[in-house]
Amino acid sequence: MNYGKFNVQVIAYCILFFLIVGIFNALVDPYLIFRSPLVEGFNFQKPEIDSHTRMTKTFHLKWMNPELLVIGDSSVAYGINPGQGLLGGFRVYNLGLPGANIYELYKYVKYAVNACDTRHVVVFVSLKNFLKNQNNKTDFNDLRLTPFRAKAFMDYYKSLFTLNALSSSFVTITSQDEDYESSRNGFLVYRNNKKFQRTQNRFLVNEAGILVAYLRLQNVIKDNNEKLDYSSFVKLLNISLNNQVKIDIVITPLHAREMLLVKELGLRAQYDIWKHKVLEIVTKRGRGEKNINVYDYANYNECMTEKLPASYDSTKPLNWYWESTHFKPEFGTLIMDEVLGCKKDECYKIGTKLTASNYRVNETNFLLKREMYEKNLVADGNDIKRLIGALKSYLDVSGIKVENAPQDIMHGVLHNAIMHINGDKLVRNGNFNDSRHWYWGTPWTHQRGRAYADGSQKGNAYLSTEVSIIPQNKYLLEFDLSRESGALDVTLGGDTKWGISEGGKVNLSYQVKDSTRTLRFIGNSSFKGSIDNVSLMLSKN
Amino acid sequence: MLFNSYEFIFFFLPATLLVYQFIGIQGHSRIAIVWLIGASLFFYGWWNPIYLSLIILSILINYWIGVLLCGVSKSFRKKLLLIIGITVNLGLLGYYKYTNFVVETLAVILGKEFAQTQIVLPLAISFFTFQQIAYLVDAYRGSAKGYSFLHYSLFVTFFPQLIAGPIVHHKEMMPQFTGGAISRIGSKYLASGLSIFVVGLFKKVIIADKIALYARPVFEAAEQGASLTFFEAWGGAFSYTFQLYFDFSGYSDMAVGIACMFGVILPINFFSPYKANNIIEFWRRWHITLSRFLLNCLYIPLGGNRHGELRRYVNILFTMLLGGLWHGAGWSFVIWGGLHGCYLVINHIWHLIKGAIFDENMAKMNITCCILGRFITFAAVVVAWVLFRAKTLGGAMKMYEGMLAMNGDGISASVNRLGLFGDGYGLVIFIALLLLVWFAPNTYQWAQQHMKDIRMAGLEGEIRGMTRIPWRPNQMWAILIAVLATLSFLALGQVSEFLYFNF
Repeated sequence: MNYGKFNVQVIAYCILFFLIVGIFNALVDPYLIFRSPLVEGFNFQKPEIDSHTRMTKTFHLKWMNPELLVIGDSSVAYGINPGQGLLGGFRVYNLGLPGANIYELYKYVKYAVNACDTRHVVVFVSLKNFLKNQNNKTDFNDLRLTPFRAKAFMDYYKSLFTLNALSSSFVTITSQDEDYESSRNGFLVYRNNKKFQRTQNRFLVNEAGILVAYLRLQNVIKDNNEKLDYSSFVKLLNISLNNQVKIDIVITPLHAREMLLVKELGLRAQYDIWKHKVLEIVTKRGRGEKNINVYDYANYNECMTEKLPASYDSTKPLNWYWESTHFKPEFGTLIMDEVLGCKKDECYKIGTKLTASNYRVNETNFLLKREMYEKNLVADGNDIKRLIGALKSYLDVSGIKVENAPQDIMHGVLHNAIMHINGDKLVRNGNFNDSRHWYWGTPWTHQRGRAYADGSQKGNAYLSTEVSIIPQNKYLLEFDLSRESGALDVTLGGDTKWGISEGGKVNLSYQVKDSTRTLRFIGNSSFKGSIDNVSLMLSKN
Repeated sequence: MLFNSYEFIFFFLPATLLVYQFIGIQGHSRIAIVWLIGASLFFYGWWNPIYLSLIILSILINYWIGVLLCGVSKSFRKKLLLIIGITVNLGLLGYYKYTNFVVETLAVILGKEFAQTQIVLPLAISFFTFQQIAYLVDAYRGSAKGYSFLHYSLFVTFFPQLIAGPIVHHKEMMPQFTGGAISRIGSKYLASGLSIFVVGLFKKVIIADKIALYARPVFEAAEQGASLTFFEAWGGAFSYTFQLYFDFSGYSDMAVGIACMFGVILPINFFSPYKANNIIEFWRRWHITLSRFLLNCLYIPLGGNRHGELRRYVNILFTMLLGGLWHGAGWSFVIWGGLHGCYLVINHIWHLIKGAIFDENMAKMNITCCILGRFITFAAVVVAWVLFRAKTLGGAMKMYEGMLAMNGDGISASVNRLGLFGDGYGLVIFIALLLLVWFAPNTYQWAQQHMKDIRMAGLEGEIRGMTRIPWRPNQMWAILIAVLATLSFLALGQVSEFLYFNF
């Protein structure tokens, strides 16, 4: 073969392979943007839509051309189910964008108002959406929402000719057994993380995430409420009203536990100020307008105060919430029924239509109910306190700065904190089923399901394992000791218990001083004996 | 513009190449050179057009001083001109690259805060400054005469080597611009260049960028002060070792490949450095053209090995300290350079001892020595890369704490699934990459039949006979190259910079 032919062949094969990948991706259409035929068992379910919402919803919104748009962050995406695309007699689309800030919401409303026949927008907002430091998500792009849709070309291209798209296609084909059908109308199905099947755990994980978000901004908000982005909110109102689009602002219902978190972080006053400011802006902008209302669903109604099941109960679900931020579609339906259906004030059962005149009365009721809730739910409050305490002390001692700690680190830190609060056992393979997870110094050996030292050591005999502990906390260590001679020292986190020489069940309490993550048994030179059933737990006292 | 971006691969490169080939085939070599200079300046200006004036000014001043140096015969005036030239170059480099570093260091020493504006480092300034200093030195010695301004401009700006090397020497480039390159226009060099470029692109976007996902969180955790365990820290260090290797190797291949498409042969800059059996050999294989520059323009003028062993070691240390500082304005780079200097000194002392104790046959490396030497060299390089990657000395120390098992040797729950050894595929990836960098033939060995023109820099012996399936323009290779190209193009969605762009 000559060189010219080789060059032509390389280019021809490249084009061929590119076309094969492109056609395959177009056929599977993992993001549902090419409207390729849907084939049961091949590409009917679209699991990858959930992780590409900012791109896919731009396309779907235009096709659905909704009369009513429901927009907000993930609480809307997982909590408002328009069913077959109809709600209150309207053609509806759920434009919930996980993690969206108010700027993103404004940009999407602007796009919807310009590109669709939308006549009514319901916007769910919470304090978190207004945090200026909450950056736009990485998959958000202004260009995608311009009239020329310059970004749309790149979206098409990347949905055909990238490894990400190819990977999404394979995921789509191999995930046809699950039910993702609801994604068509923008509603996302809440998928329980198997790791956190217990309701308690889901709450803790969610609250830990919120905690980090608030901790990162705690000082900023405390110092100055104006650090919140109200200007995008004003623009959002303007773009709707200027286009004769009715707009309803719904203050997102949070579970009462998230309100507890806000309180523990000292942000309660800021939360109240924010809510009042939202009403003030709407009242000012809406003067003389009939097309604008504010509804408060962040109040202490029976749904919001629904009590969590016991911590050991892994089966009982809640009626209204997945966890402290995400309410269930059943609750979402109640809200939408009230917002769209109520004509009189008496009709509101779980929310309130806020006006300048009823704000104070509503606020007084709100504070009374909040006090009552906090008095009655001490256990929940302690959970939150422990979570904050564990996280803060871990961060203090490890030197990790929450303001700029990467997500991977925070995920690990939070997992650690949650494990402690749950009272999970911290020693792996504590009953010595095999020799894994332990470091066997001479003459320790794994014998008949225990750790045994035969006394042949010349100096100290070390047996150790790695444990996840949080400094400044108390821990309880328990193990079975069978001693023939000598004594044992046991160290943990800079605290040592010396000369243990009594056999049987040993219980030791440790005040962890430093971040050394090793639990070490040290037999002295004459120690002969064995240990078994080692367990370590955070002491809740 | 990055070599691994849509705009470069699908627009800039094809357009520049087509026009160049068209002009070249017509025989208009000067117009072809002008076209290449224009394209190269466009390529440079894509990053920030403001800095175009800087590179143009630098070319004008250096060319003018070079012409003057060639025309002056009196030694005092000649020396003065050379000093002015080098001062201007180092002054520019110093201002843009080291001002922030000096001010920050002074602030720490004096305990004061200085108001300062962050100076943006112009792209490629370290590379084009060194190239031009080498030119001025040769002009002073009288061995760089008669270059036209056009050729000189292309020598500095030629886009395949402009951003991150190789640091080319005027003697290996100018003869090509005066005719050699144009004569090579055609499908043969296009085929070789295209193949080498694709292999480089694959190394960058498929291997380096993916392994970076393992390195980043570990180093970020260390910067945040997290206590890393033994496996996490070593996993991070190995990941970065591979990332840097495939990033720089990928870039070097792409530069050589692109230049080859234009009929220009660039010197080899990267030749399987992790196959080195000692650290001296490592520096003959890693960033070869930088080593050459430091040797010729710093180590030898300092006296090299001409004034005894002790002086030789001092010269090595000094050269490597400055080599470290060239890579980046930070103490971690200086210490990294110093550490490599120490490695080199130890290596030279070992050669002395070995020569004194063993007879000639014993002193030759047998297979066991080779394996041991390669392993020790690799480990030493991995340890040093930690300083190269860490943003701060504190971060580097945290990594070293972990690598010394000062925080235990498990995979901790607090930094779950962190690093190369933190997930199931990590170990497989680690072994595969290790085998690749230790034993697989490199691009130049695959393409040995067609790389005869490439400057081998003492590596000729290794080029030959290393592979049983050498690259040939046949269907099998066409399919293989097309597969690599397709995979690489599909991975272009997330464009990432080359690590050596920072230097």
